[in-house]
Amino acid sequence: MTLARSFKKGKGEWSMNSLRRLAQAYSTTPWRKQISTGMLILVILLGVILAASLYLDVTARTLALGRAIIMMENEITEVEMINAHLRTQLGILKSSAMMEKRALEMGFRRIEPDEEIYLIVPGYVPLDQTLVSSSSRKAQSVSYSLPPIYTQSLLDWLKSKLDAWANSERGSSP
Amino acid sequence: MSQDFSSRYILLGTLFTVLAALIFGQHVSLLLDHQRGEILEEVRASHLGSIWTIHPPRGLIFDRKGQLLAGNEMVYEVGIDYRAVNKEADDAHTIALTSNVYFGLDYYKVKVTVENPPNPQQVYLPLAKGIEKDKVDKLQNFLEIRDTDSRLERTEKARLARHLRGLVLQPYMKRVYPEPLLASNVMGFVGYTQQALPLGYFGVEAKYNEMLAGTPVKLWVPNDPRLVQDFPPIPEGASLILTIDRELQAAVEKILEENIQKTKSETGVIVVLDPKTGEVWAMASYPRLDISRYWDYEAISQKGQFVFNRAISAMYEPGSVFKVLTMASALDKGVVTEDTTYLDKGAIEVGGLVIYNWDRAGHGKQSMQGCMQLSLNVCLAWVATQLGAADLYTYLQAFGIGHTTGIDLDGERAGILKLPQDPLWSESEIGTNSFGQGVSATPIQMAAAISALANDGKIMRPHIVRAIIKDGEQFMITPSVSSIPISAKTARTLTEMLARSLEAEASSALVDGYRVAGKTGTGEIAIPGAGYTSGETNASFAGWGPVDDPRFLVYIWLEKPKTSIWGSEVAAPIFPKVVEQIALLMNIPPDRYRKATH
Repeated sequence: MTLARSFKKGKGEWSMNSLRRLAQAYSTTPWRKQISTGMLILVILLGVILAASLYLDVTARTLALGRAIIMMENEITEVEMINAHLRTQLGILKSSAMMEKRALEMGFRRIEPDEEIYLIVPGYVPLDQTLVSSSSRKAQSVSYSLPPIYTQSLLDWLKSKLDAWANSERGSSP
Repeated sequence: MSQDFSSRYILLGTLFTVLAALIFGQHVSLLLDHQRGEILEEVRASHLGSIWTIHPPRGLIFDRKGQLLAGNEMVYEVGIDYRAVNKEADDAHTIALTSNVYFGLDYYKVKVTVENPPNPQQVYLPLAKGIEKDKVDKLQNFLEIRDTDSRLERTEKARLARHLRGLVLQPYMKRVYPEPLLASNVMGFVGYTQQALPLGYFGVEAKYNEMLAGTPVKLWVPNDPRLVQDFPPIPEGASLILTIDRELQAAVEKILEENIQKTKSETGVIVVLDPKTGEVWAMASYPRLDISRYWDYEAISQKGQFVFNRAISAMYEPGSVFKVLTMASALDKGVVTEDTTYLDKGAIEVGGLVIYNWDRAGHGKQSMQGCMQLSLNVCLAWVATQLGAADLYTYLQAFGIGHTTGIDLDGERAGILKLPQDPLWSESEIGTNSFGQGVSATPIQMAAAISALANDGKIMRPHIVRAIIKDGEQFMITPSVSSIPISAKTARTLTEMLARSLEAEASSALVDGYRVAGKTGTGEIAIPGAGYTSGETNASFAGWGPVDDPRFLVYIWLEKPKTSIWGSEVAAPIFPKVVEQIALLMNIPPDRYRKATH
């Protein structure tokens, strides 16, 4: 109100000086400086908290995945053992004595030599080689490795990204 | 005020300096004291992670048609983790009761073991090994909390699981044989070393132990999950495909055991092999061990002597079946021909020793075929003298007598063949050796030696493994020639002579539909110091066929038969029974069909 009235009264010079003094007083007010410093610290702290929580999140997930990998390795070992076990159980079920017993139960009997009938097929050569697949772990023969995302730290990841960015800036990236 | 501060700074500075000096000093001392440094390094490493030794699963064993003969079974080791046992909560009772109910372990023994660790530092103690998977599955099913469980059931299961935290069930693979008696003499078995590592004993399991066991891999497993790496591929042990045919082996074992009982023999062996490749199709040995209970080996011991596989480890004086080798040598050298005749007077003196025929009679003028047909010791001794010591023993060594055949089974023995340069050799050995006395051989040696007649004079190295499977790739074993003691012409001539001999005497070894050749053998068993006076014999028969294109060779040995001492009466009749099974199971058509295709 006072300022407006002053302008109306045409006392322009006085008014400009007052404004300048006011601005100077405001800018040099101690509490304002404190707020400014406080805010700056707060922003830095917020940044640190953000980075720390991001790092913690990534680390926690890495740890959880690491544990999961160990558990899965154990499961794989157990499944392989179970597979081998089942394969042997199948071998027992198909053993000579068991097969003979089952055949007899089904009403079959051993053939006598004079009952055998041979059919002559000109040019036929019987296959004399047996192919056996023994590997229950064939999948393991294909080498595999964990993607880096499961093993690298946040810093490693940042570094890799920065390297990639720097390389692309230089135009050396493929 | 400022003086106070400066004195504090000085104190702090001094403290840090002393600390740094101590650290430096410790570092230097550790550098100088390697042993202590290594111990501390181990402690550090143990905190960072642990080393796991992973033993790959033992390779499998198949028969020639791909049927499983040896596999692996998942079993458990039951143990106590003392760190997880809560004594106040009476975990010992629950663990002991569970071990008793589910695994059949002694309740009191387990309870005492759980309550009293052998020493305070011990954290783990195994209670039992080889617990079947079914039993563990039952316990795990019982403890599993299901959606259908009531609240009370869930609480009770959770309580039990808490009490059982100290009970450790550790799975591992155990060797298992679907038919533990089938070809057990060929297979061998897997026992465990003092370090609880599996190790093959006898047979294929011992001979190929390293290949079957694979290579154990040591892995460093970090405690820090961030450092965890995937396990590298761990190749399992190589698997083997044998030359043995499971069905034929079972049939031959059955025939052998029936005839052991029928003839009241002490032991026996039947070997069936393919003379063209040296592949052993069947190898039956009686008595045989149940390899799922290999620790009961006393059960098959003979008079305190344990022979795992008589076909390769039992040496005996083969008797007249050996005449085949003498005659083959003489024919090949040309000192006699098929048409050579000999006047048999029933006795001959060689090196000061008078040799008689088996019937102590003279048989007059005989052709070489007649000598073989009547199995005349005197005639063969004469043939050997015509050949001479040098050539006789050169031939016998070429036939493989006196050294191992190299069959890929553990425990093969070489037999005994005295040579003229040996101090114990005398000239009379020429005569006795000619008809299989004074010389000892194993059944596989005899089978391999006689196989030369069935394979145009070539002896193929007898072998049991047909193919090896490594990393999913199958490699076939190439048959190899062991030696060529005689020419193809000699082999065919003698085969024809022996086929005619069987036909002429209407031998019980003849087989309907197949023309076969063969020779019986009856070797007297000597008593040390008393000579050949025991009245007991080794009865043998070696036969092969079809004569025009031999596909199989069968060697039969019965030790000390009681119903008859003669090979022609106890061993020869087994031959057609075995050949019938060979023909059926190995697809060998009768001569009339086979000739129709040519």
